[in-house]
Amino acid sequence: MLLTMGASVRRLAWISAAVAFASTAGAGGPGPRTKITVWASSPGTAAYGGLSYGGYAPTTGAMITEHREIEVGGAEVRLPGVAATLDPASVQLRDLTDPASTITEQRFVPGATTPTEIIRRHVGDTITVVTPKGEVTGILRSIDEQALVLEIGTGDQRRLQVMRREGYVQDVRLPPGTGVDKPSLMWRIASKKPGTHAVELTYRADGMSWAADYLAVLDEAGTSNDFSAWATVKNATGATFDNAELTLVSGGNAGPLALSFNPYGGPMRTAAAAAVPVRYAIATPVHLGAGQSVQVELVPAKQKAKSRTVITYEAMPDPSPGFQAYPNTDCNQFNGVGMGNGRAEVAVEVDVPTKDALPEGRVRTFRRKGERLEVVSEDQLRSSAGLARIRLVPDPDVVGERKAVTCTYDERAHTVVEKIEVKIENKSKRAAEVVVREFAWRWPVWRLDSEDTRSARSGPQTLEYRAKVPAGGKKTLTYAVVYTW
Amino acid sequence: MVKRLALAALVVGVIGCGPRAARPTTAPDGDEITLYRDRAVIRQRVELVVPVADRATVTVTIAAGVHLEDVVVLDRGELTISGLRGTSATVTPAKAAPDDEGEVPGPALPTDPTGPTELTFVVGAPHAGTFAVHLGYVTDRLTWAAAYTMTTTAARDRVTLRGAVAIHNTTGIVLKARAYVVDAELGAWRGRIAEQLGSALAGTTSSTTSRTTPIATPRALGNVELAAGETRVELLPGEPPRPLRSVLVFDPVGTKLDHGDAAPIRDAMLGVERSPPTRVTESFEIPRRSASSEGLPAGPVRLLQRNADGGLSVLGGARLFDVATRVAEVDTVAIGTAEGVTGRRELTIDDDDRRLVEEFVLTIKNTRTVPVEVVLREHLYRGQNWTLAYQTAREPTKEGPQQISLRTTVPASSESKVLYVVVYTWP
Repeated sequence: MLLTMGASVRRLAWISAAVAFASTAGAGGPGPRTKITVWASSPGTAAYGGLSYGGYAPTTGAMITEHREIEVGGAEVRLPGVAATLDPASVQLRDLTDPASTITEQRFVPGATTPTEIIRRHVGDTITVVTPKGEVTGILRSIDEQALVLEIGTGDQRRLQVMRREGYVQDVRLPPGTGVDKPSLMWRIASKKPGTHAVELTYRADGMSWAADYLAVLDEAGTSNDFSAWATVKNATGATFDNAELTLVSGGNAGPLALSFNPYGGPMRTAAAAAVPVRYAIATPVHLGAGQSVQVELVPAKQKAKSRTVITYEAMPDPSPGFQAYPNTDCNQFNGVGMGNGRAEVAVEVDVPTKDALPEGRVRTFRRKGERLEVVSEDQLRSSAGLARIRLVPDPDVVGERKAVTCTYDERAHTVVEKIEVKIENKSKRAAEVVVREFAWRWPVWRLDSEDTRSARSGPQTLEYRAKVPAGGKKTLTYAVVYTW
Repeated sequence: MVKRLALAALVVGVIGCGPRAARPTTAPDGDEITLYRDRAVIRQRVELVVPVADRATVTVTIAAGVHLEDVVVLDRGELTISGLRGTSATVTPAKAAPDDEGEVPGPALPTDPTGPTELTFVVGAPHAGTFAVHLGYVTDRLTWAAAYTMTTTAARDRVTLRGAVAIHNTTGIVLKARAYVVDAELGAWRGRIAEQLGSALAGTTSSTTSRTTPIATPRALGNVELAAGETRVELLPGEPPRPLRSVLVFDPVGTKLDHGDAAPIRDAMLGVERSPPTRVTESFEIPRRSASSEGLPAGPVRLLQRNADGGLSVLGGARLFDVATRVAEVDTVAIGTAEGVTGRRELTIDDDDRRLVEEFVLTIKNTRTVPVEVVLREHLYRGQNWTLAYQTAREPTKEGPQQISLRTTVPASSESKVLYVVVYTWP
């Protein structure tokens, strides 16, 4: 975590350090920039199982790498202007000027938020207090909500004056520019080279997140659209980052703080954790002001992209979030009995220039109608590799049923082998391209044993089968899946 | 007389002395406002001046209270947008340090911003100059209400309909735009548009609701300039007079029990009252002109009479263009109780499997010495799926998704009974 604190400390003389300046490096210049990796807002926890019952805590927040210059030569180095939400255990400092230097002590001082706390940070400093009898200058010795104590004079003239804050103290003037009231990192650094040091500071902070927002503007016929993808990055860390290189991470659990406890012995996973994380490097540096949000383009926009109409069919909602901590071995569950006709929806598909599925996010859909722009829908985008899908409306004409033809649980081999049959019927007078979405829901570790139609993966545990179903026609799909643990 | 004059003057004042009328602008610059019942969708064109450099940071203003994540860039033209900065709805303050008592101070309560929202664009442009970007967002700071007046003469044979929509702008910016009004809530209307589109794309069967309730049609208001405060926009400029005729209406239930669902309410006591109203109202009927009435938003109407001395008096009031009467061919304005004519409504229920049959008998008693024609307005409030199986009146007319009218003529000093049977079904 920290630079080595070792025997070399004793050999090195204590070199005091004081902060000369603490501006974020690289602002506007060609030097190293602040680098921020932000993880997507965590999805809501599953109602049953998942995080509620001890799954992975998804990585949140941001890893921030800043380049600064500090003046090594005093008793302690203070570095203000860091995130108020900083995780002190994650701080790493690398001295680029003197790699041999070591840190013997590190503290994180949160920002002061109340007037009393702000003044208290200046105990030992010379301050000026304005009273009805005039201004009094002295060293602040103590303060609470009722009174403050100043040390006035020197030598024999030295005395302590207790001043009542209510009604007597009119103003308190603090020394300028010390930044002691801001969130700060403080170090004792042992180095052979006093003077200005370039350092690289890396830490994790909460309060920074991002979410994807999509926009689709359909033409009047709904056969082509303009599609764009944006990421909204929210900065509630309390710090400002200028000219920062931004990397956004969606899905997966590639972060440094993933939990790995599993009462069943193996790693614990959520559906999101099982997904491969996708990193989006933002091409241009951004300014992330404290309390501000910034939108950046996630993938290049598509103009007049051809869109296809499909019917999506799900025989049942995805049960997999409930079975991330342990596998479901009950062959009677979701085996087709009493499961109804499923849910079919009309959707519009558009090709997108990505090799991976786009991150979860809402899509707003408009349609150009004559001169007007009509609002069509606002929904969660569904995506798989190179494809984005916008749901429009339920389709009552496509129905189906799903059943487990066979299901075998081998307790010794730790496997479940399940053969599934899905029947779809198109009651409409028009042929339909149906996308059947199936879930390998029992456990995140699975493989396909056989299938009569080629499937595509659209999620860690989601399969999609495409079938053209004629008007008034039917189609049957079968596949077998093997779960192991 | 003095009272009538004073009332007329008040009405004229209310109608004529509202805030300033909309000033049509010559160039709305591509802005567009669609006003829904609960919110408004704004398409706003903003101009970004890019100086000599090919990259610039430009700040623009949009409506107050709009957060960054609620803004979409609909058209960026030649520009590349590398960043868009603003404030977010859910950015919470950073963790505060505990105070002396160990209590963590709570976040400051969010204030409702009154000034416009600032958005900062970081853009790249192929050359220096002025570029246009179209933004889209939803705001609840454009509210509106429609109101109508009908003015007739002492002869009471023709009436002139006027209407205006009053738009209240608290967005903090002046909007010059082509405006439309849609008499529906955004979410409901959006669902219907999605259904229409889905039906066109995939040939899906439309839902029960779309079969029974016609979708609200957007009504163009023209180019308007909406400054802070209220702006009135005429809905029916230059509308010619329409014929007017007197009728008696028996409508004992009204729309209060309407249940807008496919499955009917099966409570046998629904619509049954211990002392059912017997009041028959005297009304005026005004035929609709479908061309000029299409998309007009619902609102109150006052029927005024211009007297021989030039003054105005109020004859009655009602509501026009409600959803319940969206397919009606006439509008009715009640002016009071019809003396000497009363009505009675009796109900019999037969609740079968997925079939509920109601039988009503409406009795109209006329003690006048002349025959009267009475409109019997009935509300099929139990649900949206119904069929009129049998009725004894003439001219049964569907006026809305759950509203019918039947007509009967009651001879002088006589009684007339009208029977009808309605069958509700559900999937």
